[in-house]
Amino acid sequence: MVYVELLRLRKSLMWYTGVFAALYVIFLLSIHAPGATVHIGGDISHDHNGSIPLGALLAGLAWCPMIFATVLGVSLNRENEGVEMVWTKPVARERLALGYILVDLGAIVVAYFIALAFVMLVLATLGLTGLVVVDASAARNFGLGLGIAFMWYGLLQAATAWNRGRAGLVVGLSWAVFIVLAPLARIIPAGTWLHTAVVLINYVNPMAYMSAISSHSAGATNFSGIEVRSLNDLSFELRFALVWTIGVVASVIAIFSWKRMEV
Amino acid sequence: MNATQTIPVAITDFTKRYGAQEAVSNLTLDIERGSICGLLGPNGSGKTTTFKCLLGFARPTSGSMAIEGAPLTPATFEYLGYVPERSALYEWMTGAQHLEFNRRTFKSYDPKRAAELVDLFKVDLKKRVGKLSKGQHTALAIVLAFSTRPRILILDEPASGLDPMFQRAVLDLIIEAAANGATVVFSSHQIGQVERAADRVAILKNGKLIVDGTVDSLKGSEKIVEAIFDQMIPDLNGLAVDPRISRIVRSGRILRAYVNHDSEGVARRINELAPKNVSILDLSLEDIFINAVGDVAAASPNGDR
Repeated sequence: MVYVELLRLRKSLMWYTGVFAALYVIFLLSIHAPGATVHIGGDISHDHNGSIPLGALLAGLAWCPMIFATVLGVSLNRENEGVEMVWTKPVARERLALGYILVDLGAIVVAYFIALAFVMLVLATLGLTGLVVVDASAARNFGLGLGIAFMWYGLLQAATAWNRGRAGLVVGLSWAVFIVLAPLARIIPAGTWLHTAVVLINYVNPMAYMSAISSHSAGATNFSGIEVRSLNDLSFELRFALVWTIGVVASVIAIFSWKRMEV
Repeated sequence: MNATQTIPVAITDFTKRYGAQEAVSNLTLDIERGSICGLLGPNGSGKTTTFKCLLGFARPTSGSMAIEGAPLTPATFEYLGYVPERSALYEWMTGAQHLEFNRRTFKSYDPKRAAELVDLFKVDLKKRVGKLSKGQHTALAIVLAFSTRPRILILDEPASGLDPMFQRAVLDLIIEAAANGATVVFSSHQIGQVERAADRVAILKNGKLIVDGTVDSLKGSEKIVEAIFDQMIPDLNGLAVDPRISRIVRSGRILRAYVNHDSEGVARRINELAPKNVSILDLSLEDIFINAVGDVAAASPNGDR
């Protein structure tokens, strides 16, 4: 049923892993370059008595599955180029679309682990794996980071599933719009209608939650460099619930708009 | 009622509008089991729109469509094969991966049949579809459609891009499928193909059904009396109002009279005009088509919808 999407994912994950492999080679070359010295330290280890909390690593790495999710977020739109092929299989359209979304979500999880494996490999090369400690925020940050990636994925599916083409444009625009919107809430003076509007819009902006995950991860710096105070004021549980709910609702909208599309 | 008793493809009072434009108007067409129905019409006449609605790619504005007596469901595709007008194959996948996709999704997939068809059309399964020629695209689409031995086939320009040898192979497949009880609806711009394979023809023009009948009855409905003159065609002496003649077409020094009855009597009358040669010809499907849609419409450069 999801054979075609599995083939696509295999290709995408190979590229994704290839990028990390290339980065690792660059890293190896740089540390073995004549006269190279490696400075070990930084905010994470300083703040935690020399240990590296896994939760902080996962918070920082949340960018990787998020980028990967924006690549996969147009999978239903990609089907639309030759939708006659897939719509003449003896499988219900909603079941097929749900299958695509579930395997894509699985691939986003794999992408998160690949990114983590890359960082662990770098740390192992430097002999620092012993410093990594599994802290209480690890599972929470993993869940929130994955939720943010899934939220963006769902929003892209909802925006592109019902038409043919233009998926690349929507993905590019989503990056531009979300990056600009996230810090606007801090720049625009509070109390104005525009500030209220931006804060409200930021509730569906994955990038705004990205700043929240970073500033809430134990001892981590704000990796995105963006802070949206309104979202940071929300409890972790509420942010967690919001990203997953928006992701699920957007995915359901995508499934039904794809099912009802006319070609 | 079971599958053998119901009408395989039933289109009742079907209308499809795109905004203010009516693509198909009140089309009613029942296609019997084992029949091969050629759907003809100039570009933009509504053939592809009809196929799209029949297959659930678009929704009828009004009217109904039924496959084996019931509305289309995903399960219908277990026994319905489709070849689209435009390639819907995945350019980045190989032919072998397309077949694997079919194997995984159809219970009725027959690997032996697929292998026979691959062999027949000489499809290179290792190549990515994007690297295949247009003809090989079509051939692969045909292999996929026929590999499940469907009992209903909907084929939109199934021989497009194929060389004459493979075109013949496609027609043979269609005829063989119908002989085994399958119901086939297909469109083609090559009227010769329809004439060879179809036992029934439906002609659409501007979204309306203007001709519907068996090929034999349509061809037997008129004869052509054709006269060739040495010089310019002389005055016809009231031939145009002869009740036996439905219309007269002049083309240079050739005169063609379409005759309802008594073609020999009409031939004798035309012979009085002293032509070089007079002959009585059977109507071809091309004549029927051109009579029905007119030359201007047939040459319409607009794409089909």
